[in-house]
Amino acid sequence: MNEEKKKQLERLKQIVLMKIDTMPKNYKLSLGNQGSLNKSQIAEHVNKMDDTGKQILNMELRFIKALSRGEVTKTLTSV
Amino acid sequence: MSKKLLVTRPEHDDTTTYLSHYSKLVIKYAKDNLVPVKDFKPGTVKKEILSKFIKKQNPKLLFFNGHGGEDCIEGEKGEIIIKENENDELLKNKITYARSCFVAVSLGKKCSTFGKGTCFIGYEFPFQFWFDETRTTNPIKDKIAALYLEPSNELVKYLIKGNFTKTAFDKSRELMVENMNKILKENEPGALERFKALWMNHEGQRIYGDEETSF
Repeated sequence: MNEEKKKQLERLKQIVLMKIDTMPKNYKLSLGNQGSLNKSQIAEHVNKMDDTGKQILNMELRFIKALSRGEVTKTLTSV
Repeated sequence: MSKKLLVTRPEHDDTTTYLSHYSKLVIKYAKDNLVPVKDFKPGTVKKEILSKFIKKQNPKLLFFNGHGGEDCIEGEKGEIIIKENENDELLKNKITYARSCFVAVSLGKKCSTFGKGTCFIGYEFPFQFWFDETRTTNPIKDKIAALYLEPSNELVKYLIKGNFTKTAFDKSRELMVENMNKILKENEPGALERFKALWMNHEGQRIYGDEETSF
């Protein structure tokens, strides 16, 4: 992985961790086969960069791309 | 083909417990509308019994709840109950809705080769939802989880009403959008994360096969 990609990944991790930190303590995310995760477990996976962590980062990236392409706005105004 | 609804409800972790409890609302709705239901209750979702039932009773509508993979749907504690190229013929001439992760990637696509009368609705990404840990003993009262699980329940209800599969698919996605807007308007802590999970379900929901078949 080159330096630029490493920096991008680190930024993405920081975004996920900051957003997760805003979740109330009693909330958990059911993520299919990965089980249900509270905010500290999510942060742990993201920091470890294990399979679950990578899946969480991929979802964030997909969401950010959709936001920047205007796809999310288009969805919200579709009904 | 019999106008019967089959529901699987394994319960062995938080995810399956929530799916199971919300499925009971669909079962009640079906019964209220005089639709015969075969409810595979927690502890009974086994491949052998399920296969026998589908072959013998030939229910038109299959509503699977539980974990899954790209080529399979699971029952109790990881037991694979439907597997691509092994027993996927059980889904022929049926309407299948699998509230399971990744099942649309390969198993769902395969169903599009089964011809008229077969339709598969499922997810290409993990089916995900936020829930309130303090509500796990009574998931139906969990207003956080309801935002994710009610639109998917409505999909089956639209099918029970006799709508085309594509109509039920579209309606459930519309309800997801309404709930996304609700989350944004409420603007409570963690709103963006809750919104993102619903958006992923919206984007990951897929329909394969006959879009104009009905129950």
